Amino acid sequence: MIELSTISRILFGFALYYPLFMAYLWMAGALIYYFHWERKELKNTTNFQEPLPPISIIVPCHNEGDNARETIEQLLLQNYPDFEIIAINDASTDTTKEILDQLAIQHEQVRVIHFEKNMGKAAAMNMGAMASKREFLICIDGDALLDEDAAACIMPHFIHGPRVGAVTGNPRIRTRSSLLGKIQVGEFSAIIGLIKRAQRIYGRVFTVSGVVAGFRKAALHRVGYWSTDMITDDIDVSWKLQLDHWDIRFEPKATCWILMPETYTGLLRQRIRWAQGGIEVLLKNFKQLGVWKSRRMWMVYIEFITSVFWSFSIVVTMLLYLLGLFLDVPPEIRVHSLLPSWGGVLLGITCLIQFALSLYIEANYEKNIWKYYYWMIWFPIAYWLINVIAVVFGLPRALLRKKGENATWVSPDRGIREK
Amino acid sequence: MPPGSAPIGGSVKNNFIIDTPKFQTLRLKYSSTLITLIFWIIWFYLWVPLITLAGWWLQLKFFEQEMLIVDGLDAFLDVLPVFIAVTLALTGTLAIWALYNFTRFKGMDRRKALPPVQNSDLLQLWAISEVNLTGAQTNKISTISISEDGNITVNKEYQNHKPSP
Repeated sequence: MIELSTISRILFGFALYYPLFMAYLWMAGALIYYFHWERKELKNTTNFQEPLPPISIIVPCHNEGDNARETIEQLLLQNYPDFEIIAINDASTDTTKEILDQLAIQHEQVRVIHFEKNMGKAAAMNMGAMASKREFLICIDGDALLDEDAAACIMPHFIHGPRVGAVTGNPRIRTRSSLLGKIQVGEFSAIIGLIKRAQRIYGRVFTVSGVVAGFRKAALHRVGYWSTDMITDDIDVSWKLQLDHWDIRFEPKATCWILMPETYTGLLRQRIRWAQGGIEVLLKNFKQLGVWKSRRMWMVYIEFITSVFWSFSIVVTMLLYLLGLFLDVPPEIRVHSLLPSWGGVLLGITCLIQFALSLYIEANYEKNIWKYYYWMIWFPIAYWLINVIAVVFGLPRALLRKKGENATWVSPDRGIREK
Repeated sequence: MPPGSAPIGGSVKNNFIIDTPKFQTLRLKYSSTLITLIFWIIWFYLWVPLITLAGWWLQLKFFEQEMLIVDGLDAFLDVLPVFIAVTLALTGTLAIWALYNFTRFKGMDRRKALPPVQNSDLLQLWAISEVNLTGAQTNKISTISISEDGNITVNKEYQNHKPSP
């Protein structure tokens, strides 16, 4: 029989070393990606030497009265020869309808679809895809601002890669007034950006960015477009495409400026939804894990399952520490301190190296990003905690959610802005 | 000049970035600064073992107490070879995997491009009539309703289409 001390040693070791080893793996992957592809591409300026196919830009909007005009007027500035914008108003209760109608009347390239009742983002994008006669779609959120050259940077991936089903863009945080906003700037560079690059080296990515991604309609058609019953449609469509053997690429030059929560409640709600969505997708596709044809997705499966286990290992460690304060816990499993001493030093250094590396890469797309390094000291301890809480709350939600129900949700707060 | 940028004085400002700390509530502002400070202090606390290491070299008696933490250093040194081995194994495997893929798939794409999706494909997939599909694809402004059983109806919105001043 396995001794209690062995179990606790494995548990505590896993809690400490998992983020450590993953950080080095992501850094190695990101470096390979950077030196193999990205650095060369940085020198290539956008040009329209080759013919670019017509595209539709799909913009799902639900209560985007404050943002829709800015989003669409920015889209109209795309340096792209032939594009139309299809905005879908998902039964908004604010001024979205009136604003979109005005924009459609003012601009030839804009078309608008209104839903009679709130159907969710996935349904909105499905109808947007149906309403488009074009083979290539770029989907962006109704509160995001797309860089003028983004479409022209995304499309060559489809033109030169017949097995490319989707291309995910590079989301950049706009809302940076508060500490939460500032550390999300680091998170999107160091965690999300770095992981996307590393996953491109594995061959498969966990998800496209829901806020900005390009799609090949033929690929979407094969997998039945977006699932209306999944709380994170972006993760779901990414897995469906890749399990159907389509490639997903990352295009860091396709920047898209996004609004993120700047309150603790808003951020936590958003993260719980992301965690819940990831787990829902994992459960939905769990059987595929054992299929040999899905082997290229194994790394993504393993990485996600391990990260869920890691969140729970942290919870168990904390519980054991708290229990030890009040009860007589066996010494083998007693946690004396939550500060991991030497391990903490190693973890802290690793995390700062990871941030430094990612900001070095991301500085190619955003000057002055280094000034956010100061705020990154927060990340290793506090921000991981938010993600642990998100998984712990997200798992039961994913398990208990009624299957087949339309997934609708309201965006959390969109940061601190002048009204 | 990068997109979304505008010259302000002698520098370039990115208009997309919203950095208006003045709109934070006082509570949010001071709590953020305080928490950051606390975490910097914790961070320096984690460096205490390294300072202890310096004490080892200097053999100062003053650091005797901190030297107890050298147990921690021993533990770290014990685990260091394993740590390096695992990190090298993981990153090495990834590098070999990348090299294998770069070599294997260089200039080769086994999948042929699929033909673009046609309206006949869409009609087959969605519960929609041809008239409604054409409407959805050509109307400037439409209203779509989807029934419980998935039937899609498209209505053209009739309203004043004169451009607003």
